[in-house]
Amino acid sequence: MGIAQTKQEGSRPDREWNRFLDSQGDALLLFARQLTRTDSDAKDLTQQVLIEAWKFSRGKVPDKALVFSMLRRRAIDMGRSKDRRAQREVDYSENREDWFAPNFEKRDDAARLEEALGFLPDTLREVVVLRIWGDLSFPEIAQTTGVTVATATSRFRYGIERLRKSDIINELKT
Amino acid sequence: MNDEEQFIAELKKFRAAPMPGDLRERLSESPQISKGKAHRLWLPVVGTAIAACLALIWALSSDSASPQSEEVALNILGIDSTLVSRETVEFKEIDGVMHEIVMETWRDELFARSSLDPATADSVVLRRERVSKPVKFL
Repeated sequence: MGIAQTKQEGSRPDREWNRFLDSQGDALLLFARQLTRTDSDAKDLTQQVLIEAWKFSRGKVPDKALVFSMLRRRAIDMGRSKDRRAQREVDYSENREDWFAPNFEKRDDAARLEEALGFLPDTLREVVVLRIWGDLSFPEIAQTTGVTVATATSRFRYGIERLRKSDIINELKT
Repeated sequence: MNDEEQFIAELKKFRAAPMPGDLRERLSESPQISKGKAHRLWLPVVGTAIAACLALIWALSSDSASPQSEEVALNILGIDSTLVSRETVEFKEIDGVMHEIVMETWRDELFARSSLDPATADSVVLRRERVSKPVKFL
């Protein structure tokens, strides 16, 4: 009974670990996809950072802003941010995984949103992704990206404005 | 709610895609197990560091370590051997024979000039207290 229960429910650290994955994994992978050339790199980076952050926090669910910061630093360390925009444009038509969850009603919108995000400058896109899907506050975004809170805020507003003006996702406004 | 807020609310309706099955599977086990799998990224780095340390330890632990072999080991670690300063010489009896012990201080240089992590560097520094040669007293 005890063993079966353990297998079924997992130990407390395992439960916390899975809670951590559930709460931050998807958004972290989305952010990693903004910073890397390939989906494979994004997955490797996400895995590495999730485990590193978990180890750093000694078995407790790590602070979200810290995890995003670690991922950004590791992406820079990997040196894969260089020319990623050009690479992404090349990769765009190739086999790759969707950035957003499939939603049959808004499937086309999701694809358009993904494309529109891809055309945002890196500095704007990362702030938009961190705010909207990472659910970070502006002070946390500032800390993560190494800019002032005012800069993070203005980049977000400018990024949103660019998305709103984009013909690609114009339909979202209606 | 103004247009911008409404637009942001619309954006938030799109959720980040869930982790692909292969990644989720890699991470679904305990962190300790996943860590082992993730470390394939670190293997080249760790492997190189271990090889460098082993080479240095081999070179320095040998009584017959020549300046050339020492230099080779230092070069592997990316440290300029000219930075090594020999500050003190002590004498110690080992197996009934007096030996000269060379105490070298290059810790600062080691940290400044190499990208070794401190744990590795510590073990290397300790090895720098080495038996240089037997000493014959008249």
